[in-house]
Amino acid sequence: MKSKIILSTAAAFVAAGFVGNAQAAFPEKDITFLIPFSPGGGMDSTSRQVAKNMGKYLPNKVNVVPKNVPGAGGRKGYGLLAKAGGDGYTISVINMPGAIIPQLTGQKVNFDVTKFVWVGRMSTSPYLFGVSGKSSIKTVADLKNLGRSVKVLSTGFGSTAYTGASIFKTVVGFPVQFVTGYKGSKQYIVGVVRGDGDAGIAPTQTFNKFVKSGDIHGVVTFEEKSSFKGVPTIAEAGYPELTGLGVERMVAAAPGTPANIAKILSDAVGKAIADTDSQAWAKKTRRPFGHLSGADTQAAVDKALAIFKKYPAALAKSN
Amino acid sequence: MFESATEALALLFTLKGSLYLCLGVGIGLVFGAIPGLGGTTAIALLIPLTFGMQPAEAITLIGGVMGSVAFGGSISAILLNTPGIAPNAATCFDGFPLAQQGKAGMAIGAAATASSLGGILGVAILMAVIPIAKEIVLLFGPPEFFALAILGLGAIALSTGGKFLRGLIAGGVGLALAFVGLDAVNGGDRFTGDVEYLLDGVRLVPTLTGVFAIAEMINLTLKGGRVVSGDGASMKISRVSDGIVSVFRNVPILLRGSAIGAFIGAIPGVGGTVASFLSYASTVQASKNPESFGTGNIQGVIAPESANNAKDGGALIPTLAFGIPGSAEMAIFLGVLILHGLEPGPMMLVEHEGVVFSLIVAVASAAILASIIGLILARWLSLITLVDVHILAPTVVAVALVGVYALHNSMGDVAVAMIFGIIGFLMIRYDYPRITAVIALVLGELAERSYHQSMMIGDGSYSIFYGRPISAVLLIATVLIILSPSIRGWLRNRKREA
Amino acid sequence: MADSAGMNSPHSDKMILNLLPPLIVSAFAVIFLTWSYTYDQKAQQVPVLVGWSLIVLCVLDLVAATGTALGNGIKTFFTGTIVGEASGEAVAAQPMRKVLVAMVWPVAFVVLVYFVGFLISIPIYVFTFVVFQGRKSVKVGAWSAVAATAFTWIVFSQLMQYEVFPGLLFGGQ
Repeated sequence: MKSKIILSTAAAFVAAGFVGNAQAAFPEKDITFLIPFSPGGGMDSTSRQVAKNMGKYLPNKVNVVPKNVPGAGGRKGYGLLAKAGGDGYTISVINMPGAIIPQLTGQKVNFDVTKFVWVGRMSTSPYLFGVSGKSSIKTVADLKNLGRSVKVLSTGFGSTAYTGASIFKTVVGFPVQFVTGYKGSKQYIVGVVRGDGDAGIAPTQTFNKFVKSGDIHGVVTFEEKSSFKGVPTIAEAGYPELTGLGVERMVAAAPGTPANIAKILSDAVGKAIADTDSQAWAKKTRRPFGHLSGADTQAAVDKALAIFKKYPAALAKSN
Repeated sequence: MFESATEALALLFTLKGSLYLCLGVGIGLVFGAIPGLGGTTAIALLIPLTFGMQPAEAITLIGGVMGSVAFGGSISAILLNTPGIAPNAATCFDGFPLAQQGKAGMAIGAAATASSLGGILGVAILMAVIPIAKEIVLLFGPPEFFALAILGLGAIALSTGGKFLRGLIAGGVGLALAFVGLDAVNGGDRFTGDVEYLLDGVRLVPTLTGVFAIAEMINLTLKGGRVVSGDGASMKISRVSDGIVSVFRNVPILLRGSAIGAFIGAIPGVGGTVASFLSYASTVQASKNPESFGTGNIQGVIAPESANNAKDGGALIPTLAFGIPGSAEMAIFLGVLILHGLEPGPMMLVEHEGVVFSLIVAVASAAILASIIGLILARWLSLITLVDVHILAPTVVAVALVGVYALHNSMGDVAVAMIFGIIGFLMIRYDYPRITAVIALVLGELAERSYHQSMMIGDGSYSIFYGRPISAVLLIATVLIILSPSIRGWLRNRKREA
Repeated sequence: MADSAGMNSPHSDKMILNLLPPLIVSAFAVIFLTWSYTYDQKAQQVPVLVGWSLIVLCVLDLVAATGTALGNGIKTFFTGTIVGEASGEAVAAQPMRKVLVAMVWPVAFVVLVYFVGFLISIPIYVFTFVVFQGRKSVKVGAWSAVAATAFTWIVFSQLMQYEVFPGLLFGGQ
């Protein structure tokens, strides 16, 4: 009997020691930073920059190792994150709203974005809605008064551009006919310049050069403050709830990651972004960061989901 | 503009610049020659290495790879009947028979010369076109791409002559496979059976490695002996200089091949395979004795090799005009630019002239350097044809599959390569031309997507295809090309009667 | 096109073998076509067109392969010379068993790689192939195996720092 008490007490101490150790010891080994996109793109370079500086802000100074896992528009990588253990050793960059559109539009995927544990936002690329420099359309009001459907060029149904344009047209209320199938934003912007259609929506950075050269005229920007001369923000145009519409680069940990580990990761992301090396990189490459903590990122995701819920028509196929 | 060009050239003559160029060329040659790898893999690999470099240096390195890969691939095409990269597939047709006749040196010499001159011509065409690059890119929209894809498909159907029926069937199968995966127009996925691996479609590199390399190795296993037919004692490795001279005796073919290469290279997503095959096919059509092709006609080496190097110049046209990558390598090149803080787009030529010219100079120089190295090594490389196939076959299979795996760290890719290796061998065995299946696989996606896009742009009316001058001309050209053998036969008959 | 008389006669033993490829492709076409019809109107448009065309072509191919008068007529209609690819006739003469063995070799290699990875499979495959399929001496086999493995190791593992697949048994996925 006595030996039993001693044994169980000893066991309790050992167990407590393990639990205590596990918590204090995170991270004990290198963390994998999945990048569900090909090397060389914006997702890749931003993620790598953050990964590079994250390690030194983590307890035990482990490495954060980026790993490209491209495929199916990101789905392969998201699937890997969903399967990974919730021990905090696997995180991934997540393109929002790109990652969540498949499940919202009823496609079969092997991950649930709502179960990801948000660790932060790295940057945000709000959209610009642009038309050809030669177009007669100049303002949001013109879109409504065109007298026919606005032909919007975009990537395929279910892409972030298609969905973004869809939300825009649903909220403002103008008819749109999509021309899909373009392989990327540059391609459909050139299509707009060529005259394949009337308009296109894409991150402001992608449009920069085209607006500068006069090939594209910006109708409205979804930034908080317009960086284009003479182009109103969506709030100024009368639809403030759409401010921020665009593409966001979030970081998430696998489902089931405990809150304290998520906080450690979140702090590390924030410090990695604030690091002078990252800030210098952002200035040099003209890719400003837009950091949000893990908790704030969760709020941003919830807000986006709320808009989708409010305007279900935005997710339906238009033509 | 001229200062940037001379500046770029000056960089080459510095120690660092030439070192990077040589490194790029070396990597390009090896990656080109090993079936299953290729330029895209090489450049993707090098990206992390470029982080610390100056933009011009990084670009010299990458340009070095780009300009040398196609020639590297021609070496295995000629010696092993296995294209190092898909654009070398057409080089096998006459290159390998030449090797079998003991003329490997001559074939390599011709390939080297055609590659370097083709590369330079491609760059020359690019330079000539740069002032109007934007306008050219704007002229080609979805209806034009559709017409071009149809032209390409028509040309291949035509070029299989006696195996016309099976060529069409193989093409049909290729088209069917092209539809597997995510539908860029409608957003859903097709023919994937919920297998995640297939979401990106039938992957080109493992498929082509299987269909060409693995299938050929199985074929060689059954043929036995050595690549070179006849007994070894009397065999001579023929003079490389003969090959070099032959290119200068066939300048029109060189010019036509380069023009086709540059033009097709400028169409995003189509690439070197179609360019080299179209160049080959058009040379056959224009020739006075078409039956000699496939048996070791040196023109059959010059045509595709000039095209698959000229395509790099062409691929730069949309890349420079709008930042739209003209090829897979260009896409990665643009990524490298972004990494170094340079923003590709319509102002690229205005704002980043130096970088642009560094690439152009690097690509052109790489083509020349690669050819010089190839010419020096040609005699030694030809000795491979003397090795028993039973040693060659397993080695090539092993290395090719390692390369296929290395692309995406995916055993799925290796499995695909193996499956298509079996299919490819059966196609050889039962006379279904593989090249038509491959071209259809490459062009099918572009054709279908452009068709749907055109219909959406034109509001559902077919008039969009014949209403626009360029697409109308292309479609008429397609009809003419398909009818051309019948027309020629008819003209010949009339002459006989007269 | 070089055709042995046997293949054109309708009563050749080879006829069934000749019919097999067109039949297989027809089966593929039918499956593809049926599958195409399950998709949306726009998504099925072009695949359905390709599917039907393929079936028509396969029927023609089947008839051509039967060696009957009509079949030979179809063959003659599509005459000309093949551009490029050497004819499969050389291999056609080989016995079926040999052909199957040749196909099995690389498949077996891939299966082996799946379990123990490249660096172990390559020497085994090259050695056994050279010695048993190629009937070369053990010495030649050994040298070939060493060369192939060394090349792979040097170029991929060392120079390129690639992860050469280690095999299921040793930790790969």
